[in-house]
Amino acid sequence: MAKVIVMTSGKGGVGKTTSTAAIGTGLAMRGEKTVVVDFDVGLRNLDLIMGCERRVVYDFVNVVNGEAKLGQALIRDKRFENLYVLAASQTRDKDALTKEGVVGVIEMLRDQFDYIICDSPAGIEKGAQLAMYCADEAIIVTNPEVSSVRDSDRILGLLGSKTLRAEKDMEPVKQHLLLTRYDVGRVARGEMLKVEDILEILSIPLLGIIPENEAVLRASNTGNPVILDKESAAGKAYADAVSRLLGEQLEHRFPAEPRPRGFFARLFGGAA
Amino acid sequence: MVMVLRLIDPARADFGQQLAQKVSQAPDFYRDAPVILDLETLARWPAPPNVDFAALGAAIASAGLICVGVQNGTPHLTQAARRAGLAAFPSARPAGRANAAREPDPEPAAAPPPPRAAAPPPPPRGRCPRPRTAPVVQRVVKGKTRVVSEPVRSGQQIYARDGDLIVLGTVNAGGEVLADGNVHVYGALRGKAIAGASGDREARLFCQRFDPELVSIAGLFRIADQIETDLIGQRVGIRIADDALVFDRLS
Ligand SMILES: Nc1ncnc2c1ncn2[C@@H]1O[C@H](COP(=O)(O)OP(=O)(O)OP(=O)(O)O)[C@@H](O)[C@H]1O
Ligand SMILES: [Mg+2]
Repeated sequence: MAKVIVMTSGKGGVGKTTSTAAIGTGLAMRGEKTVVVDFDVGLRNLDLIMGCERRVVYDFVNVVNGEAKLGQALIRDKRFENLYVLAASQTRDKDALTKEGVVGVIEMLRDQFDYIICDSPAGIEKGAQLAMYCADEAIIVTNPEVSSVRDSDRILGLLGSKTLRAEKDMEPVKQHLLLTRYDVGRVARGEMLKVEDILEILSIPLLGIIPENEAVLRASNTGNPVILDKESAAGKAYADAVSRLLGEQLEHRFPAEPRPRGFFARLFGGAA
Repeated sequence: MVMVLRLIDPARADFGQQLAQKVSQAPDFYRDAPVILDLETLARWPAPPNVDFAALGAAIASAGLICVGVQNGTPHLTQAARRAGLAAFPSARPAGRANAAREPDPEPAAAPPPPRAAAPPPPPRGRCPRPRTAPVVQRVVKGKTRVVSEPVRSGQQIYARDGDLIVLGTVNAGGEVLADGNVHVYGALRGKAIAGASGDREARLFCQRFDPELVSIAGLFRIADQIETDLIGQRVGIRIADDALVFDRLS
């Protein structure tokens, strides 16, 4: 059965698009037929991060308006044949998407894919509510700062009332917390919230902790989702998150602060 | 001390000046007094105007008062006020008035006494942490005791009409819980909690970890700034005695 997952946050710039590209690609690498859908109409950039921006001819809005067939708008990834992108329109205004239109397109995608990952725009208004409307699961992307946690809390409330599942009184949208841009140094200095504190406030299961990592910027600049950078800290953390999404039980690798070899390390021959 | 400001014309540019002048007549009396904006008059307009509550709040603050909430608005006005981080106090508004019929009413249809400031408020400490977001999701539950097992999140409001409310988890910042009876919060209380919402002065409020934005019983209230810092993080029970809110630390 196809799964629709929304990547959402309330707050802007926390890493939704980065995470959509990484997790979508990761699912495809694990053999799942996956499409990533850009709901950020007017500000499209998922196609950039996926490295297919030059191949966008038709987009999500064209399909909703009946100006193009779904098959014409789906862009197949060059690296993985079971990975597709449905781009957002850069030129249309935000109101170009309608609830009925979105439901129709998502239903068509359900027939063809295992995973449909919806990259939500920031905010809590119409755009974000459309992106979450059809979701079976939600990945709440949160940075370790008060404003982001507050917005995530707000989004969790909306998932319980503004989705098709809530309206139809079905089993609620399954929730996952993805902590991104986690900067161990700043957390240690008390400038950012600790994992435990965030979990205590939001009280939903943790899908993964993605460290602040320069590999992300490198990846975006070259149009290669960071999960393809297998040596990078962020790439590894996203790969773990994908495994958990597929139901594997993995220990969380809490990002550790790089520490000089200290007294105990010397004492125990480097085993510490 | 009843500090209710009736808003008559939100478009008047000299609102702040008028208020500052009033305050300057008795600065000690008014200093940092919590104020509730009454929207009754605006609600009677054929088409209630758009009000910039954030700007109003700022004007009130620069006059040296603290705007904590609104009452008697239309659903539309009340939503706008909430979006600006103001609490919506239950209105004493008879059901079925012209304006009320137009939109679904997110207000509890209770008839409490007008809220009064808990007197005398201790000096405020720092700025009132205003929620940046506003409740839009409300569930009204009737009956004896209502148990809520999910966390109450920012933007959510739960109202137990005619009974008690028991919240098993936390009430997060920006969330609101109200009951006509008692309110019990078994997790942390970081949002707003209102017991005795229809005026029951016997109602009480209890929580396991106390760090609220606002607490109120039967219209008496304290905002975060007016709460003893010693109580923060403690198990606390609140009741009314001698016309004032009393905070008991529970062992
Ligand atoms: N783990 C990370 N380490 C370092 N930089 C990151 C990380 N994750 C995201 N970024 C950077 O943060 C910025 C915002 O990321 P992204 O565009 O994915 O956020 P978004 O939530 O989709 O934003 P918007 O709300 O505008 O759609 C980008 O410049 C991205 O490169
Ligand atoms: Mg984005």
